[in-house]
Amino acid sequence: MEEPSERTLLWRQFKKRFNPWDALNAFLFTGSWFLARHLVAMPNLSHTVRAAVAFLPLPFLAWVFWKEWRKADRMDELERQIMHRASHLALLVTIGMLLTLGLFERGVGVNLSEFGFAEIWFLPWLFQMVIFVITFKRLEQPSA
Amino acid sequence: MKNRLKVLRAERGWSQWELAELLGVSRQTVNAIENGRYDPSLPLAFAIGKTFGQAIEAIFTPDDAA
Repeated sequence: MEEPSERTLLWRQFKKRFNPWDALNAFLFTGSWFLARHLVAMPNLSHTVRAAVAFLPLPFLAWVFWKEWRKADRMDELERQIMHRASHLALLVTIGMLLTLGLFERGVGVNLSEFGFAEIWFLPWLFQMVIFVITFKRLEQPSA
Repeated sequence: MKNRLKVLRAERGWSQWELAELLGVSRQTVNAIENGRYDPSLPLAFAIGKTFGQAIEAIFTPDDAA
């Protein structure tokens, strides 16, 4: 059997990580969030409708949850270890952020009324991804 | 932990991608092991030994070994 070329192997590794359905779902999730954000602020909609609209992005998030659950089984041991570390550190960074913002609001009189859940929900996710990428990149460097 | 993974791989003319494919891990994992940034689990160490036809202790050496 012919040995696969480096390009083929690169493509296989890429396919393992990238799925067009995930990209579509990410697009729909983002779109649904922007739409929901816009709709819940419309005063001419009833309270019940606005409450229902708030659930709009959740099915797309459920898809992400399902995919992440399955991806965890396919990760190799290093990826799993880094993801675990990134999740742990992201949690600590999030706690630090909320704690500091809370103290700012209480003690320094900073008005955070315009800075609610709608603005910070994605930050733990962002922290986790940034820490994951930094850790992975760090592993690319030779040890001292 | 020191290891001879890079040397063994070079002897066979394999790229990191190829070895990663053989071991069922990512290229980054192979790279991290070669660079001494990551010590593999026992199952992966056994898989590496099997791939190169050598015992684990012939590939991996503890840092404090004489």
